[in-house]
Amino acid sequence: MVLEAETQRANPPMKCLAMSTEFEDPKRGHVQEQYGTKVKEMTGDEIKMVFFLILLSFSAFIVMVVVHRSVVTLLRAIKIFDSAGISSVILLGLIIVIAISMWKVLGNISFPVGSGIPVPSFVAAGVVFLYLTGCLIYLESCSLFSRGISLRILVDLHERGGSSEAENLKAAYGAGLGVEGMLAKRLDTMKKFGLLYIRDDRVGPLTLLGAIFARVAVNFRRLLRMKMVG
Amino acid sequence: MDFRDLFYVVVGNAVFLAFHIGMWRMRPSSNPRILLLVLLGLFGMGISSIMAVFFSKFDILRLFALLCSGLFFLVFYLFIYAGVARSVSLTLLSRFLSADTRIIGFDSITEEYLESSRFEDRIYLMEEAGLVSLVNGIVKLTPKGSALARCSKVAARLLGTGMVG
Repeated sequence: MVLEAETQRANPPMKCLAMSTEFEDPKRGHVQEQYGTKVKEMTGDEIKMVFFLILLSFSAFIVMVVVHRSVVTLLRAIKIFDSAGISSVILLGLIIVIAISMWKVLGNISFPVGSGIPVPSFVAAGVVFLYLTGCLIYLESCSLFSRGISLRILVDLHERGGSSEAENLKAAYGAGLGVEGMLAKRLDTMKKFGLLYIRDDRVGPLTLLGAIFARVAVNFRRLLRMKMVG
Repeated sequence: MDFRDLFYVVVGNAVFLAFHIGMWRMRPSSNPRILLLVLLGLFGMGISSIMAVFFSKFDILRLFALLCSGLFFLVFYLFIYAGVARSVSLTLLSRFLSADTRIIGFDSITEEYLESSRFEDRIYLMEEAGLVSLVNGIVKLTPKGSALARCSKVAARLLGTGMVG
């Protein structure tokens, strides 16, 4: 069934080609000339299809978030692990598995419904891109809430009743972690990701991967002439 | 999506990047200007869509696929940009690039950070955004900042990430 759908995608039947040629078909809408531009009237089916695909993409994203949260909570509860690294690996695996599953499912959906014509591959790719966009937003949100310095300063202020001296905020940053703790945490993470070496109290030198990251960051910042950063 | 559509996406993104790099180079700032960047990205997506409508036949499914790929590129770029623009880790990494500072004591790193104005600059940026007010060295949360702090705590709890900072 999947193989059949893939073959149909690669060699679409005549009916499917109607989308990219001037062709009059009551199911697909017809092409007409308007202000020198070829305009194809939208059919109700196409609009419904777009809504359906957006919904499918959103549902896949929700499934990914729920499964990720559940697995991580379960593993933490039974004390198998409590590491951001393993959580990231699980998340990456889930994102890939769901994206592949979506591609396969879209190969088995016909459009218009019941016509037996699979969803064109470019539309399927668009749906997968939309799902991946949601995943990126999720990743960025997780990173922002867990490591965002400005947000943490706001929360510290909120927990101190809404006002504090700037110097005290710096000293007690991160619910008492302090700037030292914040820097130590970041250096430790970079060591875990193999970006630099740390021996006792001595930090450095960079690994090859760390040097590549550092060079790319420096050149990117130079290109955009970024002033104060990090 | 054929090669022509791919070409429209590439042109839209190239216009976005050209405007972004040009504007950032002409007016350097410590503000990451995320909103402006998003608007420029949407402008690039608009260019791709207009090209697709005028140079190819209008097809809602094709336009949908084109917008989805454009949106993916924009969010992916924002993801990279946010990291490069504000990452403390990348700033620390770049510190080890020069030959005389390949190995540094942890105390020197901390001292350097405390002596710099990087922490205070974040407070100034939040003041510009109307999240805090700064009077005689006292930082006060504004109602907007207070609402954001409360929402962030709830969101972090829902995401299960905690707010370690």
